Amino acid sequence: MLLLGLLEAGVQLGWISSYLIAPPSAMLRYAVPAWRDWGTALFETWTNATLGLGLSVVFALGVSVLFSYLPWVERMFLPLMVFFQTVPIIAIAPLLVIWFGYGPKTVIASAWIVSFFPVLSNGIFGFAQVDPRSIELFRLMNATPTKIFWGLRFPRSIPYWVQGIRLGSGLAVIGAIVGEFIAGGGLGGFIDSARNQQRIDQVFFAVFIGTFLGLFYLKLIDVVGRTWFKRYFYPSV
Amino acid sequence: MSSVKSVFLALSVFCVAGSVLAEPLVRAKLALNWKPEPEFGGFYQALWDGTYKKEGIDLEIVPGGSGQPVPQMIESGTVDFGIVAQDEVLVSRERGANLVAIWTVYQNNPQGFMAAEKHGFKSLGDLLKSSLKIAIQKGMPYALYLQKKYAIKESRWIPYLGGISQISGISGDTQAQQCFVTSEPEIARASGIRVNSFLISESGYNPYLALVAVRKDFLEKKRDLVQRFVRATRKGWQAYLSDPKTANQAMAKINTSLSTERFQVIAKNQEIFVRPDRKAKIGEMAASRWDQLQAQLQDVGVLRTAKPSSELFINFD
Repeated sequence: MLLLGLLEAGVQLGWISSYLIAPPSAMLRYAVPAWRDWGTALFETWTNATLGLGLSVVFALGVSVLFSYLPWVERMFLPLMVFFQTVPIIAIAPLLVIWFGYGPKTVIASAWIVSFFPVLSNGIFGFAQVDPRSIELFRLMNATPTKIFWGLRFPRSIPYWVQGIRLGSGLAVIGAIVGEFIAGGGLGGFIDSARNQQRIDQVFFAVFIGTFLGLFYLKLIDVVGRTWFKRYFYPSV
Repeated sequence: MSSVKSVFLALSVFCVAGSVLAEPLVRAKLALNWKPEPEFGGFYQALWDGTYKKEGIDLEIVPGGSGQPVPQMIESGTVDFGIVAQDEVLVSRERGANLVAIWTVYQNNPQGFMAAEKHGFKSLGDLLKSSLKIAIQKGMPYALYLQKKYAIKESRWIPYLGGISQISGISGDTQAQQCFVTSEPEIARASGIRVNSFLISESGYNPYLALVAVRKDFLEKKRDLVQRFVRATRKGWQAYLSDPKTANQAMAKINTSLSTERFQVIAKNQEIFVRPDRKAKIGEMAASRWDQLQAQLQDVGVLRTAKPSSELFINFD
């Protein structure tokens, strides 16, 4: 709020040109009557980021369960998974357009690529965080590996999954917006078009609501994780 | 004899030092909105043959790329001179910036669209009224003008990714893309892709392109520097139009995506757009063209009010 106040004062007092930095009042003057325009863009980004993040969770769950059952597969493929962490999404986004075409498919793929690894690595780490004495106890009671996994490893890993999804959610929003710059639509397309029209108020406002979308996810996952899965949380997580 | 030599040497040093002290070079920056290409040939020519230095300017040319915010760079004082489009000057003035154009490279606009030859388009209208998707920098004034004039659906615009990638890709024959008719169609043909290209000016929208703009207060405070810049630029462009080979060879070393031969072909193709009339002075602009463009942009709602053209540009001798 202090930063916004300073921004407004800086422009009103003529210290900063409103052509270069949009004050909050200019953003509001744009945003109120044009809510349908940016609302549509925001909804598209939200939808694509959610689907990208959803894919990340599903894939990460599948891969980490496979790794958990077959450690040699993990040793073989985990280094490959790091690709998802290190890939410069802006460089491969044009390739995604070639593979998936213009529109939501490319955007969802972009959101998925950047959000996959944090979810996966937290999941794998979570599966490993089980007290060996608990596993021993399950074995003494003749529990099958499947029973040990779903009855012990998985519930104990939930706080780590929540943490991974939390990290991945912010990245999914960034991935979606980057994808939209290349594939069109959403906040990315909106920012690109506003930039070409030199509408700094629209650019600032879109960046602002993009940031809020990321924060919204963080809070939502935090709340859902700590209410629905409250009993699985360790005090330290 | 040695005393004569000493006196001569001392005089030489004095003269050189005197001339340097009398006219120190003024450092200035020119921002391009794209990589070094024939579009900027005259500027590089004047830089490399020392014409800017002869006018007392130590010029640095800052190459650009996709999304380089040149109007904002000029307005913020990051650079002194910048390459923009005529409609960009008008839009920036509408938004509160104070840019003034001092030079134009192109008298006629070489921007256009290209599509695979197999579609058999005969005119810009054919292409724009078809169902092909069109890769374009969305939101640009010319996009808004064409959208209104040819009733183009928003869904047909796709983001422009640069180069000829959208005509040469897997789905290249199902879409059209923006281009410089002097450049990208040549590159496409060299890659074995047969294309037809059409000028946007067929629609009646023909702004000057590759203008040099400065901030209004910079022009007022350093009018002499701006005048010297324009003088050197004109000499550079005259030399480049006479023989572009040396500058092209040097530019091809900076921008390795084009060969020297390609530079030469593009330079030849663009000549008619830079100097459509051999008797006319290169780089100069006409008030009527500024008025016409303002009326067109008002019609599509990009501009609310028109400004007197005398506030928007200045021609120097």
